[in-house]
Amino acid sequence: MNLKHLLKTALALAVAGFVLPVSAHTLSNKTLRVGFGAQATDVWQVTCSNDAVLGNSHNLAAQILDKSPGTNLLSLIIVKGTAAATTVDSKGGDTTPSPFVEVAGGNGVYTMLVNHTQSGNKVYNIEFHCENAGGDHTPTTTPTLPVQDN
Amino acid sequence: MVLLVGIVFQVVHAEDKPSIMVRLDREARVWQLQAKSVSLPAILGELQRVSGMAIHYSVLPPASVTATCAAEKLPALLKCLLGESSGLVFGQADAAEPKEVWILGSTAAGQASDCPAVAAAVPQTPSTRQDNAELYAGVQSADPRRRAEALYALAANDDKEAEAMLRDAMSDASALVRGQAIGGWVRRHGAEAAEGELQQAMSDVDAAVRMQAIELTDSPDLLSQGLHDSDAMVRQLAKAKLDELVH
Repeated sequence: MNLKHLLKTALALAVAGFVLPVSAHTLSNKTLRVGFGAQATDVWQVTCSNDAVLGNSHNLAAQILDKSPGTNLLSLIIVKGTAAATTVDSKGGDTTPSPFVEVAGGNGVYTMLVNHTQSGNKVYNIEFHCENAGGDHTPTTTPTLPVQDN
Repeated sequence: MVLLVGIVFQVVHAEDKPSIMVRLDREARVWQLQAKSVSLPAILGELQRVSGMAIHYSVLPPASVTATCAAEKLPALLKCLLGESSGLVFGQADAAEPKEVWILGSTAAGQASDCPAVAAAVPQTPSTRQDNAELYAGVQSADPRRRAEALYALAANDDKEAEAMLRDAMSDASALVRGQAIGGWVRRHGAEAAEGELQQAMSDVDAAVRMQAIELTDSPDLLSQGLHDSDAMVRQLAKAKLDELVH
């Protein structure tokens, strides 16, 4: 590794450290309601964007925590364009969320769909964040209300 | 190695310096704000300069601020910076962004946050006539689910007819519709301005409507009321939200 590359790397690392670390974003205590039946689906939209230092967003990563016990399983699907990924919380009512999944769609608007396997009331949290190709958190909007609220 | 340490040392010291960055990512259409150890007036001054939105205030917390915020609209960016409970009143909108904002606060109240919060009137993007016609038809549907979803979508419209439909739907025969009506009302006015409607929803005979009211509110009073609800799920949700407020 020559000196020029070493200096560039050091500067990049130091400058990257200048950017305050952004913790994961959370939608907490959201619900699916029994009146919408088994087809109930909440729709959330999140925008990933460019950071002056960390560069463009590469993907959105997210996981879901089902806070309601029972056999009615909760799943989260991330969609952007023609790409999608699904993660399922295999046991509701505990503190272990589903695995993180990600969709690599660059900057722009991602859609997160929450659905379940049976009719019933559900309470859930979603943790999510945008990342650049190196895994650093990039600017992530947090929606205040869903696009569709079931 | 010494040179490397020197560079890192210098940049570490640079990190200690106050800084503000406000910009609009035009590709993603997202506002970004990063501030480190600067006063709120300085941050607001930079936000005003970059966005062109006039920002009026009298009283602000004196402490320096460190913040990282990103939002599609200026009102949401301000909520991130100042907190969800901040009192904001927005003036006339121009191309879906407000031209000016008043940050409420009074020294007579002791702290800026003691002033009664006012709903942030987030400007809505008008729908097309065809979209409106379809939504209005949906609101009249015999299918409660279709009525409910049309009402929630209609809440994003800025016309007065949508307002009246939401109000009427709060006493619909279907609990599904009542729940979506209250959800739509909050979507339109914000939870703080809808406290009366949320309080009314807490008296609904259907637990799903009460649960939705709990989901939508951040009022400690309403959440405390939920702790004593007859339905276990409502109680669970109220407790979870109160725990979150405390922590």
